[in-house]
Amino acid sequence: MRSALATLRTAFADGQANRASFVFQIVLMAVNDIAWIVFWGLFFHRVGTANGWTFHDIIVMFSLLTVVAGIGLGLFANCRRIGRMVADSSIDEVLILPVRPLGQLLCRRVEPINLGDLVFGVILFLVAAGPTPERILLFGACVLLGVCVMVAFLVWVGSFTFFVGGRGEHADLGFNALLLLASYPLDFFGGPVRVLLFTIVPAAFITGVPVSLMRHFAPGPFALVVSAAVVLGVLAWSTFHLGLRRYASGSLWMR
Amino acid sequence: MNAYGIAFLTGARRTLAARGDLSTQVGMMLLVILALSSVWHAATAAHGGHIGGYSFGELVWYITFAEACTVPVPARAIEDIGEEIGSGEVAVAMLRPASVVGIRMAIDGGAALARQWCCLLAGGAFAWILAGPPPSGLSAILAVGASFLSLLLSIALQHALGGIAFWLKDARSTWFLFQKLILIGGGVLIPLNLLPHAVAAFFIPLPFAAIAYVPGSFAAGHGSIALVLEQCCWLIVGMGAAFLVFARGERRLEVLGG
Repeated sequence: MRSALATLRTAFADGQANRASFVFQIVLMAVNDIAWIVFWGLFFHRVGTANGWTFHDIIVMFSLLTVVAGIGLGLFANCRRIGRMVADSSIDEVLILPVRPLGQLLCRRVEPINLGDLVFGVILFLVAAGPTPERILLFGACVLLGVCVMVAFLVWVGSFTFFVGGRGEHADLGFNALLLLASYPLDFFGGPVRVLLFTIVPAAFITGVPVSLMRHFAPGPFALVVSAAVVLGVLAWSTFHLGLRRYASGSLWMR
Repeated sequence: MNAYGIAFLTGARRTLAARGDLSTQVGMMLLVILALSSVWHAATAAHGGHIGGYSFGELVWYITFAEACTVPVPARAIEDIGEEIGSGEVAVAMLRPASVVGIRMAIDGGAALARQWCCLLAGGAFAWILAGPPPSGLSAILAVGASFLSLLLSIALQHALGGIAFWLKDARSTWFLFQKLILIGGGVLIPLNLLPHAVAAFFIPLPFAAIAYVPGSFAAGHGSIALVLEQCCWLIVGMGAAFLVFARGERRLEVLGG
């Protein structure tokens, strides 16, 4: 744990090394997030309410998504690169160290551009999502669980590269699918797509269910999100370590 | 075949050979169509089947063509152009007996056209499953033509913007701005005539609308001659700007050194 924290601190310092670029990237991501808020603002201006969702729900959804993505993809940036790291053998740099590889791998890199999401999400929640002490507490819990779901899912799909090879394209598709589907209201999806959001691409546990919890807290859905985070965590950990056992490639030049 | 034709074919072949990247892009586009069609399904259902004159089916075809015009030309290419200028690659390319921007646009054009055809085939099939056949056969054919012009315009504008790096040495942020402008101002996410009147009136005459809104409108059966004329005008302006920026930039490199 201590080594993971030290690694994270170093990665953060590395990300901040070029201060101007660091700030610039944070601002860029905030502009990106604002573009999405503008889209939804225009959409609900035209539509009013749709499937029980209002613009206020979108604000809550984006606060959750941006903070989860900010922490998951900003502070544990390597979670989305595991497939590529396995493919190009850069994972070897971690395997030679006397630490647990998965934790070390996740903390090795901080992505400044995603920290823009984190800053934007927190500000958006505090300014426009009606923060009260209870809601802040619930928001924090949902963010924590959402980060677990996102990071675990990305480690899981990235670990497939150990078994199926390739350059990690399936991990990229999984990453994009998760982020995309989490950025639309859950109740807009029906039938098989809705089933998909609760199973293969667990985007519902990052925004859909948490938004409904922020509307009206209920222990059942909350327990569902907790279970999803635990199951995905175990699945990711075991798939990664099973994959590591198969991993035999040493260096690129030996292939 | 001349150098530009060979460059065009090389770009197309390279794209078709990278099957992993291509299938990721097409898969991603299908996901976007799925997500946006769910959004518009909810919106039209809340308004008795139509919204702003669009039915659900028309909106699905609109989204499909708007996406198939933006996905094949990633805005990040502006950053690549800037990096090639900044790193001196362009200075080396100037030694060849062919136009630097012409060859570059031919390669990008071949790659983008190969991607666009894959996107249109997969996206069209998906849209058909989701919403039935296109609202009008003739409009669909015109939409394919408008998509090709949109591709050329997009590549031309990217080169004109990327060429800023001849003076600024850094065009990194431009692609991001370009992407966001196409997303909202180009009508990728929402047809421009569904926006508040003043906002729509501001965006429709701009080149971003010619990239996504025009082909999307034709696919939805809402196209008009005026939109084609607008697209052609912007294409001439875009091509002119790209060649002018590169000509001036190359002259600057010759004077100051690469």
